[in-house]
Amino acid sequence: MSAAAPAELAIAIREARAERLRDGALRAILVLGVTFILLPLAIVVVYSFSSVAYGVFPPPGLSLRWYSHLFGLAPFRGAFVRSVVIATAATGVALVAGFLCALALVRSRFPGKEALRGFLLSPIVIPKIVLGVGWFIFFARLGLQGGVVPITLAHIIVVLPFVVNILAANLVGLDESIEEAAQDLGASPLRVLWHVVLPQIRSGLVISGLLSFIVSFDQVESSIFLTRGENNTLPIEMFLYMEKWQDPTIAALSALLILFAAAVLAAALLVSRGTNLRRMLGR
Amino acid sequence: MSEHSVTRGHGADVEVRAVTKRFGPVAAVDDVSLTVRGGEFFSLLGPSGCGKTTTLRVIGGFERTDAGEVFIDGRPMGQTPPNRRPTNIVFQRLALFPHYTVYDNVAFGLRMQRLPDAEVRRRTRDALDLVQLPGLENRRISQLSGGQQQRVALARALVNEPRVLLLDEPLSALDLKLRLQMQEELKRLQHRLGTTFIYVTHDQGEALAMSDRVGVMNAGRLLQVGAPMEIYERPTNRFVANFIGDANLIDGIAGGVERGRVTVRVGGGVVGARARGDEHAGAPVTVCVRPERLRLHASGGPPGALRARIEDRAFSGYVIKYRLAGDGLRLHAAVPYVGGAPLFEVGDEVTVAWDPDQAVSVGRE
Repeated sequence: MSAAAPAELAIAIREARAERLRDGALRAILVLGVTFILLPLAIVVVYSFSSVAYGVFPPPGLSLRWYSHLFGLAPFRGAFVRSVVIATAATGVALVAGFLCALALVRSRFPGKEALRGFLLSPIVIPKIVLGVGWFIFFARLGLQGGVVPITLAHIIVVLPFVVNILAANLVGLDESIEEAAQDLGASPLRVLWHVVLPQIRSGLVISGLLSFIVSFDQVESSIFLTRGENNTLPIEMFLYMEKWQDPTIAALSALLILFAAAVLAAALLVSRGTNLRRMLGR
Repeated sequence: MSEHSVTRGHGADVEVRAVTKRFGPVAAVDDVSLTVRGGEFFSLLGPSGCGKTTTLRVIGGFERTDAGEVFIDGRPMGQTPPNRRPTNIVFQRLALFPHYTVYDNVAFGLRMQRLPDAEVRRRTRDALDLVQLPGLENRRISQLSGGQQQRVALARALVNEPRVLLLDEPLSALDLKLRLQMQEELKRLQHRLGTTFIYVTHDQGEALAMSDRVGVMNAGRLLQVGAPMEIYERPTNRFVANFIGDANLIDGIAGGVERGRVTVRVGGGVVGARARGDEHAGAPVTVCVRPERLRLHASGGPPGALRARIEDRAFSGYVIKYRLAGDGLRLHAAVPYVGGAPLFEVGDEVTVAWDPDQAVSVGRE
């Protein structure tokens, strides 16, 4: 052994220590971040089982009274169904329209393409409250005083950028000769789309659909000017309830919505078995 | 092996008539006309960017032409899309469906025809047998080797019993050994099925070994069409002479033309070659002589022989390759190696000659 050996050993030990330290620090940051995200949700869930009507944490006792109170409130039931219907419709329309837009942006050449791309993405950067006021005036002029259809139309515009962006990124990665091969093997353009293009961007469709649904379900600012009391969406109904009452009913509803979101995500995972989404979400 | 449903002897004639295809200002295919006979193995050969792939895509219906027409079995194709042509194509990048299994890839064309399940199953199996891929039906494409993917692409095209099979450098991604093996298999398949094969390649060895006839392209133009040996023996211009095999291209001034032979003054010597027909005395011509046709003599040699010095010698098994310079020329000679025979040394002065029948005038352009 040469004289340098002890020095090299010392360096190796120091490096190993530094690596352990780095791993430890990264893990701590991860735990901190996850805690920061989950803690409020955990508080809401615990709070929903409170036995008292006033806001105190931790609650003095546990009960299911706020859940039974919630189920007795008809407006929430109606608002939930309305929100699901609106989110589903907005997602469906946005997927079809967004796919066609993405196809045009990726595959076609035409003047003003970049301008169109910017225009399609602009709803992301414009404040939703501004859009809400604009739609309020627009629909009023059309004689539509708000309601499910105007809200759905508004939501389509809000979620469209997500769909276009995700699907365009998916489409860029496709090898066009695969579509040519399908056509060569006798597939009409429509069947090429169905059998070859859509299956290849399935994960993008699932992700952008999921995102659209959640974003639509979650809209307050863009919806608030378009509802008319009897057709509130769920977030607005919650907002209005909170203005009047501070009891844990909203916490109970939130806990149920967390469950609902988890169920939607699980369903999406099931649908996208074996696709990129699964890998992206860590299988 | 089972009885194959893929029937033989139904290859279609293909005629490309005066086709031009421009991309912007560039004519990728420039007034190309060619006729491929039913059941023929025809290769389009040329360097990359010469328009051979575009020509193939025009035949397959993937490109609209700016001028000209494609006929398949005498029927003008017009703007008929690929899914309604009696052709199938094997792409250079194979373009297999990544989201399907091997079986579903091969069955695709039959399903598009909405054939009954039993027939789809039988013909898909047959096609996989034909390319020697049984037992891999349920594999994903990503689980296959390059050679296996190649076979799937071939089966996927052949299962439809196309009357014309278009192949766009399908073997270029394979290593040499597998490529040679697939060349033989393709040729055997083509012979057995009788399908018209139009094969695009930049590899002259591949084209010469497999094809009944070869069309050589450069810069969008079809320069020469002929059987492999004919093109090797009688290239009609410099480009073809250079691209097919090795060639010595010797510039000189034409002397007399007599009985199909032209004499050419080169430096201090006078050599002969088969005439192309458009030579006239005093005009510049180029003579093409293959390296293996050169005769080297230690001294003397026939009258008019060129004088040169051995610059380099390389042994490559069955031939000795000499590089020579002299009379303002650089030449390559390939002499069969016979064990024990005397060799020339670097620096030796030699005379170079050839039988005029073994050389050909290729014009000057």
